[in-house]
Amino acid sequence: MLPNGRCRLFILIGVAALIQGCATLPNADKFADATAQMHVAVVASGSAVVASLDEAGEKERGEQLRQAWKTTVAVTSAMAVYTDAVSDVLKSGTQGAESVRKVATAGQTLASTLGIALAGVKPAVDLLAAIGQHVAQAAAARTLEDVLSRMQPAAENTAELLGRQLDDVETILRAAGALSIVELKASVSDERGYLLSLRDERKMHYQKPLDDKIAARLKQIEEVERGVQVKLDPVDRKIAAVEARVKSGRQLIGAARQLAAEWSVAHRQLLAAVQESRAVDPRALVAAVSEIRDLVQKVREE
Amino acid sequence: MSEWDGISGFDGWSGKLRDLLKDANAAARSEDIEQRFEASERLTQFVENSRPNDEPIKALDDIAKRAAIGLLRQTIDERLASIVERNGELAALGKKFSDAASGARKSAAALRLERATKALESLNDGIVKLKDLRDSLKSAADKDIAAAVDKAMAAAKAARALIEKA
Repeated sequence: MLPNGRCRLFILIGVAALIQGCATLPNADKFADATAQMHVAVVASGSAVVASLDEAGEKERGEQLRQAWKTTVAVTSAMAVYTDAVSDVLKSGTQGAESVRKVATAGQTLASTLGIALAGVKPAVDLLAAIGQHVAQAAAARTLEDVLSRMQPAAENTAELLGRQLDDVETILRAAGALSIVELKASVSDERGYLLSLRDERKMHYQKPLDDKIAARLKQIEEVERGVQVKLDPVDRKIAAVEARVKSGRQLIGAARQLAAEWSVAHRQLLAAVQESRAVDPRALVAAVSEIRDLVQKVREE
Repeated sequence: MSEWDGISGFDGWSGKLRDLLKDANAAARSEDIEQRFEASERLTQFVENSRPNDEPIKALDDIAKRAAIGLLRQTIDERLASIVERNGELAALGKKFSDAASGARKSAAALRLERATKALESLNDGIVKLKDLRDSLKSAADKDIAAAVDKAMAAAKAARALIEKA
């Protein structure tokens, strides 16, 4: 036998009170933002290293890396889509009341179009909305616990592999920078060798008593050194620019590696937060995100 | 005092290069990246420091430069191969994330009661159109059509009741 209207109302209130025990869901927006930034950092790291290989005259190897890096980029892109979806589940869980109201409104419009009177529908909708809120939260928590726990091993495995990919790409960046520097230094080895010979001669003169002849020769050496240095300066500036690019590229790759490691920890924390119904502390991720934004900007400007 | 001080003449520089090439060979066989970078850096320094820059010394410089470049290219090629080697496993993990995202999106949509809302909204649109049609049917010849519309509206009511129960 079905309960009458009054009984149904008490049952609904009872159900609402029971579900009220479910605590709030954590917010995953920062986690999703950090994942998006990790994706940006991985893309920018790959581009910076390809550019360094191109600059070192290693275009074929640059193209090989461009192709090989696509999978790493695709993985971080999938991770960003995944965290967005996780965030979407959390938001949907907190929008339970709104969802119930949407359905009720559509139902009411339909009923009125058909000329059906729905007496006392407003309090019923309010009650349903309140229940819907808690039911949705509980359902979202169950869904998230299932998804996050199933994906935790994948999150850890991916973070480790990303770290190794970033290690390798960093080594390639250093090697590409060193290749550029070898060529630059070799292009002025005559001038550099001459400068060193002059330095040797100057040292030799310093060991003798000074006379007019030595003084004249030292002056001459000084002038020639200045002349040779003028030829070396542009190459030295290029070498310094390569070193600066390698340095900022390595900082970016290091930050991306750090974020990848923190990502799997944050994934685990989110799972624990869902299981224990508490908020997530996203400070470490937020700090890493802001560092990455600055580094990506720096690498792009160089 | 640097390692380049005190070296002079072709014999001195070629002896130094022999030592550097020996170290470079060891570095090429080692997996220690720092050892390789150090060996290539010392070979580059040899090119800068060897003198006088006459033809025999320049020939030594050329050997040193090619050895440094070879060491660096070998390092790049090995790292590229490692990256490619991990791609299979990474692609499988990427698919897992995509599948999980797809499942989570469906759950989110279900939590937002999207299907029920959409069904009710589209049903409502249909009813409005049916009512308009019913009102426009005046003549006796339209009686059969009007009866059919009434039936359709009754079916819509039943559908609404079902959706609300769902």
